[in-house]
Amino acid sequence: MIPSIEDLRAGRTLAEIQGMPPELGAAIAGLAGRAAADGSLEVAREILEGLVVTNPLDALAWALLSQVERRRGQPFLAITFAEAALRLAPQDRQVRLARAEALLAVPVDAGPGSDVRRDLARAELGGLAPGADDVARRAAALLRALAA
Amino acid sequence: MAMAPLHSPSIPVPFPPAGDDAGAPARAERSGATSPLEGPTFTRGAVLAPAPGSGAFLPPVAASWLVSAAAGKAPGAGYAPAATVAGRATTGDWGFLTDPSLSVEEKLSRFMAAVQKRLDDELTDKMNDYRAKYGEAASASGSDGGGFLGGILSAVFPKGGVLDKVFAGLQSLLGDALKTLGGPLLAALATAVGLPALAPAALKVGGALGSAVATATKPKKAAGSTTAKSSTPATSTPKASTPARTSATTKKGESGSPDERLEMLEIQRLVEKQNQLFTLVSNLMKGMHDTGMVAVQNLR
Repeated sequence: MIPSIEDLRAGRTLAEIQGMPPELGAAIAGLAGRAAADGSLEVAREILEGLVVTNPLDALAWALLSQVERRRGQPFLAITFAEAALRLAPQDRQVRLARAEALLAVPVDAGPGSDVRRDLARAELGGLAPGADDVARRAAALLRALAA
Repeated sequence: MAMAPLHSPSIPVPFPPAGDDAGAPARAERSGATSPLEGPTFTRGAVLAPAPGSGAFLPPVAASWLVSAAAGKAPGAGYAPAATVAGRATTGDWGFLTDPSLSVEEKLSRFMAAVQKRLDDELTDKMNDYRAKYGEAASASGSDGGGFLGGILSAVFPKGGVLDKVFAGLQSLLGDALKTLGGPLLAALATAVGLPALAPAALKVGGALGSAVATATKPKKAAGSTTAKSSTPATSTPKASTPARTSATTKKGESGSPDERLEMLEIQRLVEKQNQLFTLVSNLMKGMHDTGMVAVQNLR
């Protein structure tokens, strides 16, 4: 089933129209994550782009796509997708971590405000560091690297 | 149609273990280069499954604060019930058909006017579609991308607050990055940042923007943004391999493309339909006139 213009304007997602369950989205994201971990960034990007087109409201898919774009050397796409993910799930720790990493990936000489970006990322990481999960460990490691 | 989640899915996305290269983004930030992807285990569930209201694979939550015109009372409340003939409403544009005070000729002329109006609307819609697909796409490819890209950018990076300082001076770079996206991805981004109304335009124009960027700004990009792109081991260009991008960038915006010709043929068909309507009604009225004249001549 193809979404109509009215569906698009109403914000209905292709996943809703086609009855795509969340488990399928999770499986697709898992596949993309595995491809990214294996170094198949193009494959991961294609999978994730398809996923966010199917469901633009999936914050974690945007965050994963941000990670992949960052690794592909597209920092501005990475920060754009990370901001989109943050808009959808502002309290999600994984999304916030992805955004902080995307902020740090913006080149220093891309324009003014690199200090502000680094400070913002540091503050975000500082809020994520307490805890015992992977996000906390990653945030703490990044903070240590920034302080070094 | 969306199914309620049976359980909270917790699927670890296998990223390399944390701490392997934790300083990579920091080093990249210091050196101006991007870094390899290292990250935590992304666990789905916090966002997807139990978040009613996120809209992610879940049925949309009814916005109870929205006030609908038909929410508090039945539609048409306070008005007289519509007159019906054989169960069909006779009000509105077609009410004249059941008006006993009108002659057949008058009804025919009004019928022609009503159908003509409908055809005019249809034709106008088609022309607007054509303009959105080709007229605006052509102008956008020659300029900086049109207004909706700025709208999406403003929604992703809203003005005011600390973000002004964070992304100061990056607007053109961010805009260039957006232009590399295909229509479907741009439409998804517009939906994600709360601008679903821009999604159709982004879907149509995004591809033309991508092709324009691909053809027009490649040398400039290669010379201008080496810090962002030269350090990556990924060798393929960002616009090369995604089906959504390629499909969006090949067809639209080309003068005389099959799609454009098809649109023009559709407009031509509508105009011919109008001509046929005029001919039909003209023949009908001529036939009625001739019938009347036969009766008059028989009386002589």
